[in-house]
Amino acid sequence: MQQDDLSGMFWHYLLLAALAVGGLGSVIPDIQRYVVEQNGWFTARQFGEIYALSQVIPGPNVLIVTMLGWLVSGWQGALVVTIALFIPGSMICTMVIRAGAHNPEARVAVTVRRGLAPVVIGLSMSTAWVMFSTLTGDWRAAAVTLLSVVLVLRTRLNPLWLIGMGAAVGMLGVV
Amino acid sequence: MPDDSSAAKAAASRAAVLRPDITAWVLYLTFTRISLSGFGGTLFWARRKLVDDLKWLSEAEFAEYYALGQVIPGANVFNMAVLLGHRFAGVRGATGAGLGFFSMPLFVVIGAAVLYQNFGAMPLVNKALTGMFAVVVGLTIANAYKMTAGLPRKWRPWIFTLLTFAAVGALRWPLVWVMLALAPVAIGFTWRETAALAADARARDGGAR
Repeated sequence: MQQDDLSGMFWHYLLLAALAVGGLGSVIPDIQRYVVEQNGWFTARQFGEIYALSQVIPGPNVLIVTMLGWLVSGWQGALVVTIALFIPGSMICTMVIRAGAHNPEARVAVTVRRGLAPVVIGLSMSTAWVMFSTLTGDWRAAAVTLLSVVLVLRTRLNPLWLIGMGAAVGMLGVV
Repeated sequence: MPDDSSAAKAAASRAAVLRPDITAWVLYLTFTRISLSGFGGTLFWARRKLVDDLKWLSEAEFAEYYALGQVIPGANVFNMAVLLGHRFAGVRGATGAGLGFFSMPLFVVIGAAVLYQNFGAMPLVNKALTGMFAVVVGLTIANAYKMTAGLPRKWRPWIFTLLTFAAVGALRWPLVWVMLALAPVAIGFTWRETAALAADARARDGGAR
């Protein structure tokens, strides 16, 4: 059972990392689908909390995958998914270096970047939607969310402060 | 499109410029620093360290490496680290920089996971997490909104954006199938668009490329 989980996670994250053009952040909706809906390892709410945590701790945000792996099957899980996460990038970087194709202005690179930009934007909209629908029916949380949207777009406050304020608001029992 | 002199300059900067002072160990430490200071994303700190502090890269070179890191799937800054590490110190440099990106943060996130597992259900902690999550949802919405501002005001890119959103966000279809279906079409259309540009460049370079 646990062995199945490990190899399943390995292949799933390997595949996701291989598809994650424009950054691993764009595959968050699919990670949620995989760990919440498909496997039931976490509730949507827990996933949201873990995601929020991964945004405030120092380190690359992509390591949310390591947290999830650790929570599902301990050290082995954390190591397996972290390795899976970095294999595709390392391999393709090696190919790029070998081929001497270090040129970001090359037509292939420009085309891939420009062609996939709309898809990546669609994915970030999906992240927002999936996260927002987790708040179902909680109008006070939704109000905090909308307020933070306005603050991010209208002020130059560091988002970390906003998240800290969110924690305070939560502890005061407003949400 | 670059003219002859800037193309030559770019070619020169692309060739592996080995820097004996930048060893694999130095790269490991530098990227460990960058990734550990990466509250809310590492890109900002990578630019600051590599361009402003260490002056290993010019602003333009940094943008080039970032663009390249974005085309290659996976974590952008990780890909950048590997490419840069290779440029300065070969295969060992690439390994050092790549490992620096995630080896130490690995322990930090596992520590956070342990704390979450043990204290996440405590009422006060749980309330704090709920509040944080509400804000983080707001950040993802703002982020998506800002990104759409970068889309050209043409219908075709918007169709791909909306199709992706409908499939992955609303219908929750597996990303693998959605990407396999949409990506080739999206890239195919763009390839046709860039054909004119490419022909233009070839004419100007006189077939040098």
